[in-house]
Amino acid sequence: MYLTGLLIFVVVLGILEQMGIPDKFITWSFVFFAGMSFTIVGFLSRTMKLAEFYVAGQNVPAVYNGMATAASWISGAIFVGLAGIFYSKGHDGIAWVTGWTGGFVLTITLIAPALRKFGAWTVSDFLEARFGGKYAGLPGIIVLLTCSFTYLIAQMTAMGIVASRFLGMEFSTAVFFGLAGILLCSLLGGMRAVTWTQVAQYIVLAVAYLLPVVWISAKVTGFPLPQIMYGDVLQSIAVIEQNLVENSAAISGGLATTVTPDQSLDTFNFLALIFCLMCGTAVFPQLIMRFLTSTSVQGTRRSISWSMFFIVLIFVTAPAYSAFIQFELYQGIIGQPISQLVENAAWLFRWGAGEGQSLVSICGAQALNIEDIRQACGNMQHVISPSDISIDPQILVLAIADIFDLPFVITALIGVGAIAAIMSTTNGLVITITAALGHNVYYRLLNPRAPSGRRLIVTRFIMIIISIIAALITLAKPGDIPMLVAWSFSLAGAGLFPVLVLGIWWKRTTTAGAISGMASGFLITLFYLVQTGLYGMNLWTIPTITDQGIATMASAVIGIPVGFLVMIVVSLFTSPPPFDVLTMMDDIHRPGGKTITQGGDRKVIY
Amino acid sequence: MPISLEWHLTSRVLLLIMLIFLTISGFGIHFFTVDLNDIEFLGFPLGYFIASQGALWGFVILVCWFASRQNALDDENEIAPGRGSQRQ
Repeated sequence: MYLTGLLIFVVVLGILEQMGIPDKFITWSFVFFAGMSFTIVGFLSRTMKLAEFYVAGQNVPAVYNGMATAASWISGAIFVGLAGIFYSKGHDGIAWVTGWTGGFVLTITLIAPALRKFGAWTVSDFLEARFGGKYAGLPGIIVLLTCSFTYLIAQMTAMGIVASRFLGMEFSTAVFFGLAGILLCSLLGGMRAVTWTQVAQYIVLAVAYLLPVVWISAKVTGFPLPQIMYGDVLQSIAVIEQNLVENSAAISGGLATTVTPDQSLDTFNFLALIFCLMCGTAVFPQLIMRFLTSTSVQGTRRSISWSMFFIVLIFVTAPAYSAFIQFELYQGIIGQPISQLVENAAWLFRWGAGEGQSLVSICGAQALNIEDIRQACGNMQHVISPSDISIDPQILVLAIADIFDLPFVITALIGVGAIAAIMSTTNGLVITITAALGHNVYYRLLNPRAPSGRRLIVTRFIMIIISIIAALITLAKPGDIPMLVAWSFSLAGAGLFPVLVLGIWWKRTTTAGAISGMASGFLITLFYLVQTGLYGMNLWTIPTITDQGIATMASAVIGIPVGFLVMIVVSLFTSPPPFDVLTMMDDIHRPGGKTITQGGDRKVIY
Repeated sequence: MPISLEWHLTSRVLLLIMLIFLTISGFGIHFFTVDLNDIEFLGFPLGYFIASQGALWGFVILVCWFASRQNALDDENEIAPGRGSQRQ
């Protein structure tokens, strides 16, 4: 129903556009429509129950949970940047999509159902019970906070960039605008509200991602199924590139053909990147939280299946974006003299400038007007070669409607889709961090006797503080988005993957083993990230395996094996876990049966 | 109560199959991409098609299959007498 409403709204705005309503009005009414619908959903889901605030009462149906998970997973960076990765890195883009989806196979077999069976509300609930004692969950909380917070900063930065470009706001205004959006949606209803707004956000972002490229596919190839049709487009590109080579136009870097592996990452790094992203995905706290909201263990498995479908639907479309844009560049720009630019590709000049940096440049000159380009290239008859043109990969998705001369309403739709993608991920992260602090730190560590009313108030207070801190850090612009994403996945994988896999599947894992394993894996990864990222240390190379050096993105490839190794060795040297933990693990492994706890509390009735 | 035999047999086998498939589709295909690219499929070079789309849809099928298989196993154990547990 919501989907129908959205489509009708798009059509109505499209008609209004034809009647000559200004673009600005269309943009704002879109934002208003989306913002209002998210807020209303959030308001309707307000709650006073703790179980609803943290895990949506554990009664989310699998299909909706799948949608919410997909929205939570498809971040602004993926929505805006994934096609750009395929465009700029060619075949290597596959490492990202494979890792980000393969992680779900790991989590459904190894991790999420067991945690749901335990009845955890957060990852730390399980660690605490499994490894005994109040403080055993603490290393888990530290890892969770580090990786979630880094990712949160990445999302807020993306919000600032997209909203400022799209709505013409200042970066800082846009960040606070995003902050207000998060709090409006999730402060009253917690996870319950986040779940239902994420469902709405998935619908918006999926329509916004698929509709333009389906349209373009119909326009370019005559058949509206971009995922299949871009194969032909790739072939056409190969033919054009072949012709250019024969005519001795240099093809250097700019637009490499996308189907051959090992272009920018060597084989080791390609596989290491897949491995790290898979492990990071399998234990990413924000995803685990979502799977804990399902109705049962079986519901968790069904939720993961659905979310996998909804995510893959978007991911297989990303390379099509990149292929269609390359094709258009070859058709409309490359091989033509620059005198044709104004006529063939007016979009270049609209996207040339922004954020004080050059987004599109030709012959090294920012594409602002034809005169600058003429000076940079030499003369009006200069024929543009692939290496002359450089486009910031981040704008491809936002600009595609403009590139293919689609109505402005589509550009507005894509912008709103990007904002929905960012908001859904941000909401999921904020609720994950809040749950860890409010449930695990405040309630379980500091004040176990707190009545549920006070826990709710404290939790909401924490949520506000978290959002404000995140916004303030974002304003300081601590790093670019790819770097923050790399940090967050590496740290999640190295810190949590070994401890969850061994903690669930190897009963002999002891407290000392778990803590030392987590600490060593996490710290060695953090060391590598800090040293290479901030202090300019050279990447570590492994002779005969990689001369390129282990990429920052893939730094958990050291931390994860180290974590496993330390955990196994230390566990074998310490005495086995107590009997009640072993019994609990037997209960978790047994198929069927009840969940064991409610948020780590045994036999709590709420 | 000892862990049931079904659990040992079915789940471990499933797990093994899953992990093997994951390895092949995620990692193994990489070494053959260049060779497979000579074959054309739906207009795509085959190796690229498998890596960019086939593997992802493969994951979807794998996950759905595992979920239904393991859920059925849960149900079977639920009905087994003497457990005294009910569905959530």
